[in-house]
Amino acid sequence: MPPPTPLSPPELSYLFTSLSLTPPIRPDLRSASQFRPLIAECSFLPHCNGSSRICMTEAGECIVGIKAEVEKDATSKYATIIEREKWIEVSVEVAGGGASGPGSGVGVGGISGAGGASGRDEGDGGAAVWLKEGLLACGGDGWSILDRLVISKGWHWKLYIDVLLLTPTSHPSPLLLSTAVNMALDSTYLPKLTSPHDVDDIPAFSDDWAISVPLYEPTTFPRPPISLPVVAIGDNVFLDPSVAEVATAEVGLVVTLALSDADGSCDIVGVRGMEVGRAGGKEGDRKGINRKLLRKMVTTCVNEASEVIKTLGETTHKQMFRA
Amino acid sequence: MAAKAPDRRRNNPPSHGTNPPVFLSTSLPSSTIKPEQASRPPNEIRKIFLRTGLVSSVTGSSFLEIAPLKLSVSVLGPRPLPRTSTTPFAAQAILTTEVKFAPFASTVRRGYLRDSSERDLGSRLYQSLVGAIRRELYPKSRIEVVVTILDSEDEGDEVNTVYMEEGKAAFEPTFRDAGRAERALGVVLAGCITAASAALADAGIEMYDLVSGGVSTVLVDQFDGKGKGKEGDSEKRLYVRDPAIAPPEGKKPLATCVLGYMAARDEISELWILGKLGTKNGTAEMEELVDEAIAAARSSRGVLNEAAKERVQFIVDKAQSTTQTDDTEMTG
Amino acid sequence: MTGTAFDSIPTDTNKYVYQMASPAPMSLEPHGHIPKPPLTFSTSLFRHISPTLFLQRHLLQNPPTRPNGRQPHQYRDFTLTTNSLSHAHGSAVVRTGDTAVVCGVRGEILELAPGDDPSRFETYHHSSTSAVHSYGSRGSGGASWGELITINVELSTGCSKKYPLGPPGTLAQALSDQLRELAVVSKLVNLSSLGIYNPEERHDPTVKPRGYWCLYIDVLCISLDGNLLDAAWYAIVAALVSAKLPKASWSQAEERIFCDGSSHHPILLRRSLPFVTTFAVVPICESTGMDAIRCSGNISTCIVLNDPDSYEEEEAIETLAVLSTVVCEDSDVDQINAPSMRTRVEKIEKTGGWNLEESQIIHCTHLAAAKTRDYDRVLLREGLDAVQI
Repeated sequence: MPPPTPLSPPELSYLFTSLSLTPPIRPDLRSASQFRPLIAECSFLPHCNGSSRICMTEAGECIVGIKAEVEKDATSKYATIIEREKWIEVSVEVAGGGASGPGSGVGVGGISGAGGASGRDEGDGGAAVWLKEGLLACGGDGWSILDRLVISKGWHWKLYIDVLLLTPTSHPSPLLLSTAVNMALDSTYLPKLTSPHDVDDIPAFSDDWAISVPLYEPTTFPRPPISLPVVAIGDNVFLDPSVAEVATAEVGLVVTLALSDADGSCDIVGVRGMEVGRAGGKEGDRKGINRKLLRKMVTTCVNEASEVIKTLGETTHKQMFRA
Repeated sequence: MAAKAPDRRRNNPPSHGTNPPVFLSTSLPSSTIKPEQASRPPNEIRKIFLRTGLVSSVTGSSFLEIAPLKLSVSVLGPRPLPRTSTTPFAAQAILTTEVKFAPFASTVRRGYLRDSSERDLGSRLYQSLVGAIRRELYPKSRIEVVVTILDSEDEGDEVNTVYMEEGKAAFEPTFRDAGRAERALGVVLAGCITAASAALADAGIEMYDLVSGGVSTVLVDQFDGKGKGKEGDSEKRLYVRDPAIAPPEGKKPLATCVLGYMAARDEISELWILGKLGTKNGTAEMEELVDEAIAAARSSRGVLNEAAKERVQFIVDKAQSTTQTDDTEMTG
Repeated sequence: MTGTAFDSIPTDTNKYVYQMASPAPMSLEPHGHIPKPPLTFSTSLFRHISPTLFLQRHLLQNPPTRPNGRQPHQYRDFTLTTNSLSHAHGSAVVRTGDTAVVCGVRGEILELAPGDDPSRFETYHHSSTSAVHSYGSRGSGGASWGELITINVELSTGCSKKYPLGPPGTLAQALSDQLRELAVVSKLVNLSSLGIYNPEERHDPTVKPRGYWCLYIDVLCISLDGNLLDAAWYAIVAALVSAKLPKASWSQAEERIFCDGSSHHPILLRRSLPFVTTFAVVPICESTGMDAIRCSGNISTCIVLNDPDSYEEEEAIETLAVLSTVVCEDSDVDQINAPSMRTRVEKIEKTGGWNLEESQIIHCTHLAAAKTRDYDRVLLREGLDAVQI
């Protein structure tokens, strides 16, 4: 189901017209590729290995806490592939105020929010799937974040990524979610192992956080991914759409990118369709993306991404050092 | 797997909880270690078996089979929305999609409650179909698409295998590439899209265009050891349409693209790319992958057209035979 | 506008003439009109307007013929395909008419904790089953934990318009329970054959198993047109017969149960396999016209329909299910094809009213015996030799 919108059909029609002009006029007068301002903070939860808080004016607020626990492999020495995939657990919860309260069974995500028939579902919505998918996909040349979680023979870290959303809608911006998770991952530190690597006894760690190891080494790549939502109306492409723009848009994509080298070039690690309202247009209009539009949408994201990721990374590190 | 609360509506296993069998690599027969490598060329999709109208008591249905993938789609409706005070006015038909794996459809047994990946598949199926259906023709009604997956191409028992050969503590990296499970889901999703379109056509629901699913994967040569071969990448890229789960010998998958494609309108209704695509040449790498997936979707569109045509022919034949009996009875 | 035919176009199955209107309304017509022919309907419309009468008219023919063209004692042909699924350890697809079910058997491993008593897993719990019937384990205290054989039926697959999506409803729950009870009563699987041992201790008969195979038997209904019980049970039996579990053994070094895909763990089934045959009992009224619909209070006679479809099931006032088996005195396979094969009734379950006569029940057991032989024959034709005890 598309996100519910408080706008009336005439309002949507007006928005549709103004957004399909050349040049388009966005309701908040941003340019087509301009992001909304956001407030970002990280490492503010003392009991978490990594945490972040992102505030976006209209889209609401998102708090992410990452905790790592030491866990024994199911088999004494080696884990099967299925067991390894359970090493990371992502949960997304909407706190009050949203169109759907926690546990109501309606998916969270703005990417995949279609709630099915109730009573057959478990857990939370598609956002968790999509966030985890981005994390696991974001590896290259055999590198995987799961490798970083191996402690020693028979032991690994289990990573809990808990996302708490304080938003007025059940379809929060994917940008809000992914920047928050990105920052939290970037600020995650794990205690340093003091016992030898190849012994399968209970591992011992140093309690000195000054020598703890970051989950993502700051100088190596790939970096944690970030997802940019982009919608299209007519021939115009808009980055970081607001709720009203999503309701009006004809098509939408979420493009997930990760920094691949120090020069600031990015890799595309994922593209997904985004649920949009398709309101305001006429019947028989565009029903999907053609190739030309696809290129335009993804190119817009790629052009903007490296700067966004770099700025976000710098903010994180500035705050980490201050702390 | 420690059991949670028992399901009140179903028969439950013993409270101890049960685990899927775990294999030892030394014990696996060679056939399961090396899944069959089809000798089909990379630009050819597997044979698709698609039949419509097998379930008599629903509006439309279809059954699809691609190699091991078997799924059945039922379309219920259009039927009126329940008349409750909370039902909003719907100027357009409300579409719901449900995708459910049978408990025995994949390597790891799935429960009866839909897990997050099943719901994710459902919402992406929704996304790919919703634009194609002429929903404005069915106000105040709902259309339900229910997909039951009976069997799927999965990684096999290898994902649940412990590698413990003497002196060798490492994984066999065959299935360890990123997006392995997602590629399996992608093939399922493409099948769901194609079969659901056929079932919608069988139900006689008006659509702008049929949506067919396509999958493609880009592979590169596997570099042994730490040899960095970034430069030579582009020449060695291999694009495979409708990929099997196991990558070909010595190849490593980079990225997979799944899409729902409306061939007559040349529009993509749902797009899902996962993997790693460079952006040095802008979006060229992605576009090439998308084009391959579109080509795969065009091939399955052919099968879809045949299935739809078969159904139309059946209806026409039936109508003709009844009018003929009419005539004879009138003259007689 | 009265008196005109609702629908005068004959359809392909228009074998009989149905008249519902009495002459009374015709006399109320405006004067000066030629009396019009009585109100007639097409067969399909008649079926919708008065399904009960429609079925009864069919059954009053000589010989009685059901609307689907079958004789009352005739059952639909069925087809069986086994082991067509790649991930299930055993599977069967059964189609009879427009009913199609898929059954998959998957084994999962239950590891015993040191303090557990394995004997509770090796017996079928009769007491708990009767408890289901007396006060309903689901109704009062919620569901209970089950045994090594876990049977469930799923109908939320879009198999029928009438069955809603969502969590299992009354029908699915009742069927799951019924099938579970059949498995318990007939002792289909030898539970002690599911034990997993430490291979080094195997020669010692007193040693206790380290774990068990827990069999998840899931029946998915793909298309529903009546008599799900027969098809589901047949699919379960066939899937169990065809099931091949990997060899499992306890590894002392790893303290975990590992499987070996190259050899099989045998599931021992009982020697003669039981099969279910379901009948629907439909009332017949000798009186004609609209009275027949209202005569359910004093039914003069009733007729037994073998293998009812969903339309007949809706009209049925009673149902009768017979669990019977082909008795094999010796394991000679040729014997099974002999027509004089003896069959035995193991269980009769009847629900509904009190109209069925004793002689009819006996007749049903004979029909069930015939179908059982057919079931058995098809299973053999699939080339399935059960590991029997």
